[in-house]
Amino acid sequence: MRSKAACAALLLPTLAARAICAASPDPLELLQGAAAGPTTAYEGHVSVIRWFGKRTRAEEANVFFSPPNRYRWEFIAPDGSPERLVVSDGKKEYLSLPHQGKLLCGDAVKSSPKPTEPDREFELMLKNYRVTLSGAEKRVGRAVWVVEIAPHVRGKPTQRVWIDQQTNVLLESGRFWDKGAFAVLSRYTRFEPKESLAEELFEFKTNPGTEVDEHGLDPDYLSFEEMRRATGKTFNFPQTLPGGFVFESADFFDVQAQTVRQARYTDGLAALSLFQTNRPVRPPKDSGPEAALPPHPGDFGLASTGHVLRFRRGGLYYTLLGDVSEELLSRIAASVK
Amino acid sequence: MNRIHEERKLLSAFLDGELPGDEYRRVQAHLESCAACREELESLASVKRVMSSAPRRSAPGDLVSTLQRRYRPLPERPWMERLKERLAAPRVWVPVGALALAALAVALLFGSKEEEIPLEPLLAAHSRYKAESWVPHGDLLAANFSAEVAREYEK
Repeated sequence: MRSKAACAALLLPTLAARAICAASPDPLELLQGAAAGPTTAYEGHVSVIRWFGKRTRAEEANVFFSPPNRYRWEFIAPDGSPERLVVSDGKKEYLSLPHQGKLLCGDAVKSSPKPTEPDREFELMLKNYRVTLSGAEKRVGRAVWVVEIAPHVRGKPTQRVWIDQQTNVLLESGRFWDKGAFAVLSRYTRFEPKESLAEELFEFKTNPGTEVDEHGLDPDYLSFEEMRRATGKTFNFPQTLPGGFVFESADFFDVQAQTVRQARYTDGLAALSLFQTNRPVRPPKDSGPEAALPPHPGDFGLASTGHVLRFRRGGLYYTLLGDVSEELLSRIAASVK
Repeated sequence: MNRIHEERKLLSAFLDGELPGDEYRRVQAHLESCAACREELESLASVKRVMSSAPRRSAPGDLVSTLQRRYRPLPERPWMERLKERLAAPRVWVPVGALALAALAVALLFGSKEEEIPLEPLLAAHSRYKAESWVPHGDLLAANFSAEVAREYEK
């Protein structure tokens, strides 16, 4: 009898664990569901905190979303006044900057397909990251799955996402470094799924005579050959970069009458941009102190989007941007001939 | 206008017999009625008499050739020589040097900065591309794009 009780005591946790595993969803499917975008309308309040160097930037926004791709972000200044407004009807995106007296527009995010299919990007992510289900928790009173995405190579942040079990919306998302320091943390402090939302939330109405400027940063997806034909420059950018990054697309745009050529790389999750210019690019104005590193090919800086590395090759200037470590960025820069 | 003074200006020419007939007669008629001008005419006549009676000296015979030799124009020097001489003068180089130093200081302070391309559009382009990525937090990245664009206009 005693031995039967002992066996049961030993078996119960194992059976319970198996039961949890059986009930737990596949983390990859969870991620795919989250990336596909929610199918439910919702509104909420988000706080976003970014750490870069010794600096922190926090933002608060009211968020409205209506499937398939209509969104409205109302960023709020500390005094409660609107700081900027992003409104999209799914095709056009308007960006209003009341303090600067500017109204800009461009194509809505994800309004045109990328050359890399989502499945291919997903495969790339699986090649470079390990995806695990950390457990089930509660966020803003709702049941969430916690999924961790850890890189296979050093020098990239680990990501943790809290996915709403009912709607697939990310109620919290954190990107942090080896020592546990956050890079970005965004979380809903209020979240309400809705049957529907008012149409006018996603329509930007301008007064007659209002000047609307194109921001000119809508991405095109060019090959190196297409960019060479468009700009008359030959590119010797590599197809792959250290850290599992592969070339995805190229683009170019003008800044102060100077053409900026951009090569974009992805590892399936993180993005890296390599810019080529005829003139040097200004370092980040609010970057922290530069790290003491072994000899590196250029100058490091920190911006809200990640590390910035500027270097010069063959009479041209390069600026590398990515949310990876300085050491990895340095190795990537060294591979650019 | 004072006519008396007009005729008085003609008294010297009247005395020397250099006036045309009608002018001569007009001055003559005026002198008959103007005591002041008659007095002025007498004064001028006495000076003329004194000058006429003074002994005369003849000029040296070689005066003209001496003056010509002394004041003849210098021979034309090559322009390079004249330029070198002008540039060698400190009064040229002191202000030029000061201006060059000031220009260098301005270039060091501001020149290199002006040539740089601002980083903000590059950050915005990077964020805009990231927002298109297959990522579960694409909406957050899209929001970050707007932040980068806003910073571009903060200048």
